[in-house]
Amino acid sequence: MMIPLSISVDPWALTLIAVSVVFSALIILFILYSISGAMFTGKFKRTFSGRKPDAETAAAIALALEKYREAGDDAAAIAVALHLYLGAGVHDIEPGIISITRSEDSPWRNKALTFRKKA
Amino acid sequence: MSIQEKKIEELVERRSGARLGGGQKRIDAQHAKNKLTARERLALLLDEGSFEEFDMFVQHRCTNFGMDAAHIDGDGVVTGQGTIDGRLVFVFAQDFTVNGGSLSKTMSEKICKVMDMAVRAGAPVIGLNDSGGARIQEGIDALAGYGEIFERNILASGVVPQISLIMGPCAGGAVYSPALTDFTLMVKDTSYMFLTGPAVVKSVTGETVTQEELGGAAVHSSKSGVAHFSADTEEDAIAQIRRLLSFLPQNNMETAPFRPTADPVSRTDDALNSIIPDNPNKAYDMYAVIRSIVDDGDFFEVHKAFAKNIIVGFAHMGGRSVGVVANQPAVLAGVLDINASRKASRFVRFCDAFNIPLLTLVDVPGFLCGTQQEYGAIITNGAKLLYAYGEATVPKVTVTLRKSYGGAHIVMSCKQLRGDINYAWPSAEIAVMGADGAVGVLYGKEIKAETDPEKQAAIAGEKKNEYNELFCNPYQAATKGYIEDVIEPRNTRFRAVRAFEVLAGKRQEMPAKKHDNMPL
Repeated sequence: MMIPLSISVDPWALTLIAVSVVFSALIILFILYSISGAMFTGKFKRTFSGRKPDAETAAAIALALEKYREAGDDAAAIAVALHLYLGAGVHDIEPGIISITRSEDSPWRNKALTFRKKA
Repeated sequence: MSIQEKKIEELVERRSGARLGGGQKRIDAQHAKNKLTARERLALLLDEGSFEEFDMFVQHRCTNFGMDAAHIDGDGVVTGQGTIDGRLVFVFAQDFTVNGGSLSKTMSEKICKVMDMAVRAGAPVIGLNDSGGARIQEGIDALAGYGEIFERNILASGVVPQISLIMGPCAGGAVYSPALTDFTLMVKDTSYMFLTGPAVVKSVTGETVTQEELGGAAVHSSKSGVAHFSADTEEDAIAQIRRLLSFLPQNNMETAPFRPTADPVSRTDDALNSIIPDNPNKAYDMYAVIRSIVDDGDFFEVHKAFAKNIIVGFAHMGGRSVGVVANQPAVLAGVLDINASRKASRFVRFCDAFNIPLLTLVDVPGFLCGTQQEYGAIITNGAKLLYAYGEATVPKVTVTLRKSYGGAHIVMSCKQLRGDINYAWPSAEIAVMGADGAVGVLYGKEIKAETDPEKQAAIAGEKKNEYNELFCNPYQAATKGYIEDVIEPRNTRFRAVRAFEVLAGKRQEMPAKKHDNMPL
């Protein structure tokens, strides 16, 4: 039986197959890098492991824990802390500080200046 | 005893006699009616030991109808000055034990004197009314006396606070003095105010009515709005007036006294985040909002029983006295009507006259409709509130909680009426009208063209959702700068207190004019 020494292949088909392989490899690499990139920026960490408390919430939790621990009620302390951390919802946090210094005796505040002007 | 000692003894004796007024028998009669005497009322009203009486020995000069036979020192009114919580006030208290507290020329002169002194000294005037009316024997002099008092009420209006306590009868022309003052308080069951009494009403109109039904405290504090406060007893009445004064300045050039508080400015209230119901047609209690945000939950309401669909009163925020105006969704859905407009406009103008900043909490779906309102001139009366807010130059902080539709939105201290700082909650719906009305106007034909009721409802529902999405939120106003910010409800106290601190030095003027022509 004779084995043929060469196989006749359509050059365009070969080109198409080669390009497809290359692009498939590129797509797979893209997906892999996207996932690993998300892992490094902590995106999955946030989704799966919950919020990180900000400074105010952390302070509130610490105070609550301290208050209830002093009373000897560890269960209450943990419950309050969990409520503050998980159950308090999303809030628009305000600074709660008014930094304006009062100066009641300023001549600007002379109430007579708000009277109707005389023509 | 030397001559000087005798003269001093005469003085002491005469003073003791003057203090008895009409005599012990009449004092007992007053007590039998659950009423105090003029001096007893003043002793309760003023700080202990602070009262100085003027004109104790004044007597009437009438000679008609045998009046020259009887002269009683003081002539039926106790006038003078004292302090309330250390703050100077001028007072007059009519003495019912002397000629029924009837007004004579000399009584009028005494009252006018303390009113003049109050204006010169820049201190409030408090009048305790308990009078049978004009002293008929004095004739036209009694009317002239009333006229002099009224003119002084007018001249002092907006200069010093004027407060009237009605502690007995106040009939005929006498009612105009309390009507001209800033606040009127009536005592239940013992005080009456009417222009013409039940006897004349019966003879002219045939109507049978009692004094209480015609002009008692309940009637005037709930139906007519003539009385701003009512009290069960005279002691309660006096206590209310003492409390009222703690929110007011001495005169129109001062600010109200600062009241230090341990209530922190940064206090938040999570309950406010859920106070607005999910159903926009469901009511909630505005009092809960007010009490949550003011210092120590302390709110002194004015006109409590009158036009309950709007709430007005005084509070402190961060120690500063403020006037609060708030729609009450729990009554008539918080709509504005004739009485609410009158009530709020009067209050706003008082606060403006006496440098008391205004906090306005808005949840108003509009004006009350109907022929009764239109025939009663809701247009003019609504314009009063609009005018009052537009004219006011005191700091104005407005928070829109939920609905704020149409003309009522403009009236309730909007940005264009020189509102200084306007906030809105995320639940605010600042729009020309609600979704139901808007869809009816915009898509009415389209909906009616559909014959199937289910499809009609579906189209209407879809359009309402679209409208709500687009207009029934605070962000339309926010994107145009018509509000300063959208705030989380629980932070309202902090934001309002800070706003008032920012505006503490506000100066704003009105153009020169003789006076305005406010719609009346």
